[in-house]
Amino acid sequence: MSEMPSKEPITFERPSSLYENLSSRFQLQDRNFQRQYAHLYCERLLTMRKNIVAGAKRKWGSDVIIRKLFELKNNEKCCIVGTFYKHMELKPNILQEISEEHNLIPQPKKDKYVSDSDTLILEDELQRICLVGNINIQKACTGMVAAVLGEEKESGKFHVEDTCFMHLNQPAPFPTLEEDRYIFFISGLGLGQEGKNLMGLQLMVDLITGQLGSQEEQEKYSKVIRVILAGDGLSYDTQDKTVLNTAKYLSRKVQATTVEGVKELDDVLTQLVSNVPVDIMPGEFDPTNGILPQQPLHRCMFPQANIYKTLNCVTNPYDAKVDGFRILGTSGQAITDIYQYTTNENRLEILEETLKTGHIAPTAPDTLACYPFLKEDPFILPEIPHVYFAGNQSKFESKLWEDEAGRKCLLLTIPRFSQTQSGVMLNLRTMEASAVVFSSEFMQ
Amino acid sequence: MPRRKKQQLLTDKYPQEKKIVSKYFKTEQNDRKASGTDDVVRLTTEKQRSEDLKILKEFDLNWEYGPCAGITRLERWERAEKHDLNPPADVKDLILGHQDEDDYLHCLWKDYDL
Repeated sequence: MSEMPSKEPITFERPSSLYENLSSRFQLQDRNFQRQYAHLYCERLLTMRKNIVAGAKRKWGSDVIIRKLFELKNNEKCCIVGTFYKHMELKPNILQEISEEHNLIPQPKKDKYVSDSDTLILEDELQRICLVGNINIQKACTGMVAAVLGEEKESGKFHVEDTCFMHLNQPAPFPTLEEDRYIFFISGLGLGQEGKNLMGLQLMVDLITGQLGSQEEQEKYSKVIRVILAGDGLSYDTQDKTVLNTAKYLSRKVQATTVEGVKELDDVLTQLVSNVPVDIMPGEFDPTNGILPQQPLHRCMFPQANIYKTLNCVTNPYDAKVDGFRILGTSGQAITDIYQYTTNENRLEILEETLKTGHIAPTAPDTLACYPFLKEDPFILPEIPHVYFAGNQSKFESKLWEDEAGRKCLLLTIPRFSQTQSGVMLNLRTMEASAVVFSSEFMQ
Repeated sequence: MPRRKKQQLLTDKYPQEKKIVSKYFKTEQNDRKASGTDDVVRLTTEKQRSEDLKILKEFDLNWEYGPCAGITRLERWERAEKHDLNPPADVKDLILGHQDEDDYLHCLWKDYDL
């Protein structure tokens, strides 16, 4: 080892950042499951109505007539506000399943449940009315709140001319940065799967922690100020449903299938958090509550990483401010659910749609399980965030969404690491995101 | 023998329980006698009460304030207040004035299982 390079080893200091967690509305205060979901829909409609009515007046003139459904008159042009309900033939229905229990095959699980016979219905507090006309039924989904302009015809159907959704403000534009600052997004690590190749994951960890790459790369990765793990640290395989049906005395000595996976996750996290702050969001297959909003994974699950303050267990959805950038996102369940109930094929478009309609998870509580909230609907977007992401999607896509009012938001879909071996690196200075792929031939 | 001892204990217990029940009965009867002395007061409070409950029932049945089943009247009132629906103030006073009476606190469907 006499031929060591004569140069002094260079140290790159990782810059610190201002951080504020704004997810308190996703933390469950009480756990009351006695209530019905009617209150959540009521709260959603009442909260969003004021904003939507104001938006409708701006869009269609302040003299537009706004009617409740019971006040509708035939052939009078007016505006109605309510919640969408999409009636779908193919939607899995628990009552149907029970009635068909006797010697009929259950409905097959499908990728999408849309069909041509779907109808869109608008509901307010008292009534509902079928919508036809200039509205894309297949792109809408249950739970969205909107104002529609049109008139009721003799058929009893409402002929739509135009639609208006919630208008959100953006209190501050993108902050300007002098130097490059990166946020690294990963989702769907899928640990705990037997015979899994962890080479790609280790490469990624080493790159972020500065143990790999050339000097330029090390300098670049030293500017990663935060890593966001957007759900599904564990694999689907760790969900052992048979335990639920086995007698307790048989499964008492058996180790839970998630234990190995959590240990692996702890190892990965320990390497990361000793270098850089990490926000870990729970996902569909992670050991926390399954319904939205998912509560943070408990720190005691990670005995090694736990000693670092940089380990930050957060909720799903997650809302935070990093160096002035408002970053909001989910582990992707809401987007995947909307994907199943609309004809929209593009996950990024679905994400954009939820931003435009002002609601992160419109299909909750209809087809996506969520807590029966009473006092607030935390999934209503409070403002247009600077970065809006969804984890566990099929591929990486990004888009800078911009409107005529100058509101800007960077939309990101984060691919599953277990399927694509890639993460997403976002430069906060230029607001450019790129995928970093860790797969190569020799690893297969 | 231990077994016999156990059996004895069980039979011993029975009359004792009976005593407690009859004691409870007596005190309740005494209470009724005492309150029966002023029937007029009781009648007026009962009339007042039925009027109160009528107001509360009307509040429950007003659709503008949203669904009422499964939540307390106060929670529903506060939701209406939050969304500027101007819920009647006397309803809140009635609820707050009778904090220990279930008939005032919960909506009219409270006895139905959801």
